[in-house]
Amino acid sequence: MAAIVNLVDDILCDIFSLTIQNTRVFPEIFKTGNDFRDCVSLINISRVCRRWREVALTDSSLWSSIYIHLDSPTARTLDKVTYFASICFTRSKDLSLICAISISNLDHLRFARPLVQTLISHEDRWSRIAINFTPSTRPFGSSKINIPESEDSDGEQDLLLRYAGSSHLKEFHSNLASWFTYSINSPLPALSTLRMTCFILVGCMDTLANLLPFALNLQELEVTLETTRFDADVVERNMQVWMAAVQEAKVRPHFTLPALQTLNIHAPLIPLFTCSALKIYVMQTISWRPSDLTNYLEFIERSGLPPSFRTIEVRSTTSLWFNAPVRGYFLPTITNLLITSPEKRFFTMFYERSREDGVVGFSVLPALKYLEITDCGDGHLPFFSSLITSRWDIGAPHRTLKSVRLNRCFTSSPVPELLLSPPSNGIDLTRVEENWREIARCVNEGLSLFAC
Amino acid sequence: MSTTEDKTRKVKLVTSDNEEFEVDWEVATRSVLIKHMLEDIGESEEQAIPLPNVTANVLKKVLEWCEHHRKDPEPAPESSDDNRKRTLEIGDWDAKFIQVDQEMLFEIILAANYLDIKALLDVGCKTVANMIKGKQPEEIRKMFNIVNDFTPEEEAQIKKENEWAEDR
Repeated sequence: MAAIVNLVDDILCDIFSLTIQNTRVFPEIFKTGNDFRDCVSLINISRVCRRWREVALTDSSLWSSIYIHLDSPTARTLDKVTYFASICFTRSKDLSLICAISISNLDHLRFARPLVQTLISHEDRWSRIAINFTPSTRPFGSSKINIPESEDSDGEQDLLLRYAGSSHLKEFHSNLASWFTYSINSPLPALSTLRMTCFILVGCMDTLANLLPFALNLQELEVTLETTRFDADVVERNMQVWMAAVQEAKVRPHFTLPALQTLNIHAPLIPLFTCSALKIYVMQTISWRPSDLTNYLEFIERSGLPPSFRTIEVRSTTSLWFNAPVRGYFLPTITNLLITSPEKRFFTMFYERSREDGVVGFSVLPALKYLEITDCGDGHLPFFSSLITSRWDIGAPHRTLKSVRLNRCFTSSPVPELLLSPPSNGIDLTRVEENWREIARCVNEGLSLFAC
Repeated sequence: MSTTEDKTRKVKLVTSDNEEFEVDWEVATRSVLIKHMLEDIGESEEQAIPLPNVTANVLKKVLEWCEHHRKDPEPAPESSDDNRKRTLEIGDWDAKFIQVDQEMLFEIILAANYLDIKALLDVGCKTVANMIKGKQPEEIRKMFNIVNDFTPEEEAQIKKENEWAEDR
């Protein structure tokens, strides 16, 4: 009679691996809110019986990927997590490490320091690392926050990175990049994605100056600046190091990244870059400073007007947007536009027509082929409809728009299913509600529309 | 690569309890073990393939799976990219097929492993993983009739390692 005890170790291991891998896709786990069910599953498996424990402990791959998500953890919980992480890293033997740590509502960075130090103690094996800590909204100095005596900052070690995975490191994400100091001397040839949030410009420059010269194969770089309550702790600790580096550097650094395809950089830093293989330029928001536009245009020119640069993404628009020299960012060669939370004036700008030498076209992005809109409010549906029909009805040979994707748009009047899966004989327009009818007509005539 | 001649060919399989099955070559060769054995014996149609580790009732079930998946493409080689994770999702037909009692489930897994039918083994492993997922050690022991053979000292040590997960 067959039972689970008859399964050979390899099969048992495969089952364990499947049990813990359902939601582990790096780094999307931050979005899906894994809530560490996988870690708990692994723990439960290793507590069933001696054989299961032995099998689980023998397979180092089960322990080489850890995903820790905590909300409002106490210092005691963080101590225990550190202990568990240390066990995992030991059991993973010499395998490359994938580790994502996300802690929200953290009272004090100091509580999480031992966990990060444990991670750093295995930095030579880093492969994909993500660290995302957000502070609690409780007032600093609240009576609920008790910092143990032993955690006094005088006794703490620096969070110094010497290897950062060396040849193993593929991805590094951190919203606390300035927390670390760096002394890296070996190349990071496998590093393809670097996403960082820094607190202040001087810390950001130090991080870039220490990582980018070693990351010549980098394909995606995101550097944003954000101020949080954690700033004081980090800035106080590292300011001396950053200032010493600034004084030591004789010239302003310049980063030539020949493989970089996607760049999302804090606007004042753009003069430091040259990216000849650029494909996608991302802006958190469009800067209102004319000097930033000048820097952007010089960057594009310096990079040799990259022929692959066809996509621009704007992650948020504000009322300031339209006081800014916006149009200059949308080079005529760009064919793909991705935008989040567009405002009315965004739509009007993109359906504004021009006439040059008697030829009718569009003033902004005349070659637009693909438009992706995320989080668009219901009130903007008429403007969206006007934009699409204007772009579509210009007709051949000037029509360039081919497809449109909507993400989380028009929640009260969502895209009718008919438009997303049109019947082979075309959509019966009389069955489409009025506010979608013109777009349905475009779909009938060949426009591809997607929505999720 | 299979030829047209192969596809019309019949293969005889003999189980551990001496039952003989005659199946299409295309169905039998879902098993890498049988495929290699057929390559070894060449064109001889009369020679039956002995399967000493599989009983008739299990082989019948395995062949049902092979028949349904006879046209499936060869499984892709395993990727070395550690970012690509397997999911626990099972296709509708496979999910219905694997709704069997526990004894048959493990028989199918053992047979799939012996016969080297990776996709069927995957269905079996995913089924067991789905049974384990989200359960406490005691529930797992009860479900699979496993004896807790840890000493009290070992239990205490394991508890210490993992207590963070319990009080979070």
